[in-house]
Amino acid sequence: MRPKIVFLILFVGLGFLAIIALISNGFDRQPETSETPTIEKVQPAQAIDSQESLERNVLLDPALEHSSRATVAPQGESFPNELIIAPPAVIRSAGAELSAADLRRRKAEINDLSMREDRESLNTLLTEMQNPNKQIRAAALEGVIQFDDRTSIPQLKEIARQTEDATEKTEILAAINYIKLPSLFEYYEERKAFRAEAGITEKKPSVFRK
Amino acid sequence: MKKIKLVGVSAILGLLVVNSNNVFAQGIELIELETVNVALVASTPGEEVDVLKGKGDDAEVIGTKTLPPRKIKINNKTILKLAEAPQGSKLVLIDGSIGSITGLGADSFQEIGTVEVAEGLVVSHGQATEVDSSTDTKYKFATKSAYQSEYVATLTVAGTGLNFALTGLATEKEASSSSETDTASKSSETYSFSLNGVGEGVATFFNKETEESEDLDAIFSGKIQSSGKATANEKFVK
Repeated sequence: MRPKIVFLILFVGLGFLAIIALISNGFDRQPETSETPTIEKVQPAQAIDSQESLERNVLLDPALEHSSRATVAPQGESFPNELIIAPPAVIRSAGAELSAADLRRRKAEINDLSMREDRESLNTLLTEMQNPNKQIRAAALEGVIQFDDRTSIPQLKEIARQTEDATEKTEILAAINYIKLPSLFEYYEERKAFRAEAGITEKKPSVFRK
Repeated sequence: MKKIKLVGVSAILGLLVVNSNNVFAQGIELIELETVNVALVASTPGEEVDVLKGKGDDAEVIGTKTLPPRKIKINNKTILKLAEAPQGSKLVLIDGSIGSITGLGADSFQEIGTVEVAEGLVVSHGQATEVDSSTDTKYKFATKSAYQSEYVATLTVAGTGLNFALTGLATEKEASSSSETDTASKSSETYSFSLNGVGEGVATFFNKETEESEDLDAIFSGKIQSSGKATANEKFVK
């Protein structure tokens, strides 16, 4: 092959590579800002690159497939669709020593579990009530209160029995009493049934018709 | 001709090198939703009612009866259920708006009410610290405060008719830190608020079967807690 043709092929090849590089950079690049630093929201995949970014940005926990994190766009901006709030299936067991970031993350996970309705989540919350970390135990108790399931009462009684700290024991017993209370919906149903059975009408209505 | 080709090749190679060395601004700003925990007891007054004998048009009032006071729990799930939020929703707070959030991003936040907090006159006690450890190359600043004050928190869940005010002592904690170098800056803020209080309010219940609304006047007591964190990180263009 003649040197001229070889050189031409080489030239065209390099030119082609240069065009590809320019196009790909053009897609990846943010709008040029030159002097002024820009702020943009991060994609979860970017944020979980390192533990450091995790602690800084409070994003998805790489150790958990489901995140407990919720993020929201600053005022005036739209919400990013890629941010997912999904309760974790399992809370990792942990010792008493936790970093502030881990503690915050764990509390958020507990908060997620407390809004669920399944037995597994309740069991996890009850297990976390015996976590060596006092703040986790407190968050778990709050989670059980929010979970609001009377079937947890026997286990709560047992945990209270085993709890040596007087303040914590009192709080657990108070939680049991709270969970025992009727919900607003149960109250209305009870009242309706009671009235129907007793033939009662209102005299001084605290009940106002709209 | 040969020179022209060489110049062309050099130019393309040069362009590639320049592109691979460019540094672009990368910044991150995330604001975490404030989580809210509501655990209240609504105490109803003893309600005085007529007792009837017979039914329908033949019913005759034979006396009165006072129903015993009741205590009813109102927590996050109650509020979400009243707002008909999907199961598994979380109660969250954004800039004073309380709402439900289910998960999948933008469309999942549904505002269902507001929380207004007004500070009372009494500040029981509190403390604040500021730490400034700037150097020539790095600027660092941190603040931390914790106060216990009297607050009035008014929670209005408009769609559900739940409306009450709690007055009580609240513990409010704030911490912020920021640092900046020539190449990057980062800042972080955490906030928590916990109010134990008592107040009056109304909870409205809409009966779908009868299509009637009932207002339950009650004394509310219990706690409202919220906490959240915001962070911002920036890298500067070189």
